[in-house]
Amino acid sequence: MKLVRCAALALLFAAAAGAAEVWYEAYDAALKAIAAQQWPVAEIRLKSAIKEGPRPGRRVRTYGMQFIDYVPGYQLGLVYSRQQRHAEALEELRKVAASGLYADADPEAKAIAQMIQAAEAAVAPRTAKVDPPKPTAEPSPRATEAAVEPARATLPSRPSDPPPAPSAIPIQKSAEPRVAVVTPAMRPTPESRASTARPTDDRRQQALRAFFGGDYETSQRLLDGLAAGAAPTAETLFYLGASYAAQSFMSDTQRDQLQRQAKLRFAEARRKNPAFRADPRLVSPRILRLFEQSGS
Amino acid sequence: MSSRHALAALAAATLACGGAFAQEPPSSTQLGVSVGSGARALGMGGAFIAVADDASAASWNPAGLAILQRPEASFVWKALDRQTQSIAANTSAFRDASVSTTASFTGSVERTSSRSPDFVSISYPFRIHGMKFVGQLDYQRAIELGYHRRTLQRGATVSHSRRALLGGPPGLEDTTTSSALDDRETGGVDVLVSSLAASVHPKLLFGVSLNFWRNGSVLEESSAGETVACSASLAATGARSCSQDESKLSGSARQGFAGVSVNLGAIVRPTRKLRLGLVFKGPFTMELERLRSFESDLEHRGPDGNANRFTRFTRRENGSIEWPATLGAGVAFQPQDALVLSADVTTTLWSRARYRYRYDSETVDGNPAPQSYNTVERYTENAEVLWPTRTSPSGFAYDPSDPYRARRQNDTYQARFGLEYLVTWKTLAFPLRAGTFLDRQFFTDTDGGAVLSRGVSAGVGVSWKNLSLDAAFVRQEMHYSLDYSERVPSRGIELQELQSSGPNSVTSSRLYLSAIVRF
Repeated sequence: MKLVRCAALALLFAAAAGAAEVWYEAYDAALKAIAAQQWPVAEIRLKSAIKEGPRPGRRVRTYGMQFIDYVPGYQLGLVYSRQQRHAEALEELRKVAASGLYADADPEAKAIAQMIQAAEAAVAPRTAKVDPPKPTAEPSPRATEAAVEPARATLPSRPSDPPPAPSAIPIQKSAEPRVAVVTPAMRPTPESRASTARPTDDRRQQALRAFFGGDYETSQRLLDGLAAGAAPTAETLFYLGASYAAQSFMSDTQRDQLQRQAKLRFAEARRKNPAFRADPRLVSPRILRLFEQSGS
Repeated sequence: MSSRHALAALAAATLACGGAFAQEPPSSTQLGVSVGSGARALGMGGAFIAVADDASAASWNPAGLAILQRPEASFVWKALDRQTQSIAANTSAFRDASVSTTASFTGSVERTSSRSPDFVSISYPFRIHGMKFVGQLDYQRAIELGYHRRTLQRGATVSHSRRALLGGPPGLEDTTTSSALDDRETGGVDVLVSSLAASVHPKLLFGVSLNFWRNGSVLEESSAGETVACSASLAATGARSCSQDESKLSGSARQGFAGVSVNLGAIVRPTRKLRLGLVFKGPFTMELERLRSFESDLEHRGPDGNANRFTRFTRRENGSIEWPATLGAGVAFQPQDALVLSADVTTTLWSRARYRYRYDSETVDGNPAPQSYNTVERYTENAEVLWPTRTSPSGFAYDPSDPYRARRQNDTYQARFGLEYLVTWKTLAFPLRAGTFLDRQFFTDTDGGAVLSRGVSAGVGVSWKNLSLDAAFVRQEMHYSLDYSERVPSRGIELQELQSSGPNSVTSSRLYLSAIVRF
């Protein structure tokens, strides 16, 4: 019995010496807090997970044979963004973008790039005010490299699995004006370079940025204009429906009307391209559910 | 009873004694009281007390359940092949009015082969006032009792009668015996477990399991033997005459276990890379009921005439086993994200295990015709013996006066070491596992030294999304020798010398296949 008592005491001391939270439980709690739009709680839990947890990556083991995509920087960037702390969001998101976790072709990389653009747009006017001699908000390549270098050193070189679905993250409206600024962290692809030359694609990109930034009224307005054009794409019609759907979830008085509009646009998108499928990692499951209902 | 019958009885008794020497009780590992289940754990050599972070956790350390974040269900299937070989050469000398020497050879091969579900569980995490709990219900085959054993015995006795000293004619008698036994037992002891674990602190987990022990086994046995006893008079006639006894036996036995025990566990995670575990399996009383019956027929042919005799035997036994406590401690270290190293030490206090029983037996012995020769003998006994040393493999207590069985019984110790390395590819993870263990048995060898069982294990698996499939192979070997020698002085000039020696080995191969689904 003496041995048992000694062992029990040793366990208690060891526990007392340990840190306060298990990293994956903190991360899980953070994801739940994000879903509940409890940004300060999410921030605390994410920072706890980052402090205690392993290197971010895809297929990171939590316990047993349970694996998760662990990209807390991405969620932290989002949390900062939702709290209008765009400079911090920008820093976190740039770290994730520079970490090499996602290939350029990954939808997640595109989503992160769009979030970076939105954050940069929000940061740009402030930067201009603070530093009048430098009218551009674009940080120098050298400074950006320095900012992301620590993350690059610690993150896995090439992951192979999708990150936590951005669709699980509720989107909040932002009142900040948005201006597209291209940074070294999000260099334009040839496609996007080409698209900047066309006003229609410009509007589409602007609309999508507004959508992923949570400004659904703007995305709806811009996409409505595109849908009224000559040949709207199924994607345009889908995101128009998604904009209506997102607004419906936040409206008590016009919920049914907005959802009807959403379903109409979804149905049009289906007619345009019966094979069209939205990426579930980019869009909320509730919106996808409405999309599915529109086809039944 | 004629002198030849007495000699035949002596030879038979010696052979039976030799059989007892050769048939050792199973190892504590085979008893399964301190080993859990699951291909992942057993692939790591069973060093899982500090790891215990999947649906098989309750069988190793109930505290490990509190690690689970999501509901899980698991199923483990086991294939067991075990072979026990024993060879014993037995001699005895008995001196009184005659001088007799008996030599016998006993070879026994016991094979256990079973294919059955080993573990099924379902666990569910929940929170009460912010504290995380995980409940689990599971079933485990805790003790595998199934086996199929064939035993061959050969023996010879030579006796020089000195009856001349006492006024009778001197003579030389010799007896040869042979027998073949075939035992087949099926079943095992199962445990239904209800567990609850709580994360009382993010780094400190506690768990408790309530174990309901049930079920048992059925034994079918049959044997055939032949004894040829010859005698030659040393008087002037020198005549030699022989008699032959043929015996057949068929019997059955049932035993059922019932008991309730409690396991307590704790796990502490001082850092992300280190985990310590402690488990205590409390002592408890296991109720045991046994019923045995057999029928044997003996056909005697000889110069003194032919005769048939039969024996009908029934025995009812009720007892309780003071099952010993088990204490285990483990450590798991994760130097890299893909690598886990673990080590356990476990002890079970088998020196304190006792079996108290009472049995009532009835033996009907006689000649089928005429019935008047039949005798009925009833016997009742209350006794306390060591468990499991003082019980035969078929589960019945040996004679407490048996000198070999009177040896003390040791506590067992197990040391286990394991590692797990993860290889990931796209959305798949492939764990590779290896382990080794040492298991000191509760019985001793000839010199009273520890008998060690050694084992190695290897395992592989694949994990994809919410499904994990694992396989493990465990190989275990135990070699020991039992040399026994004793001189038993008896009345006056009588002296009995018993000697037995021979190697024994137990080898077992186990294959575990596990599936774990997370919801």
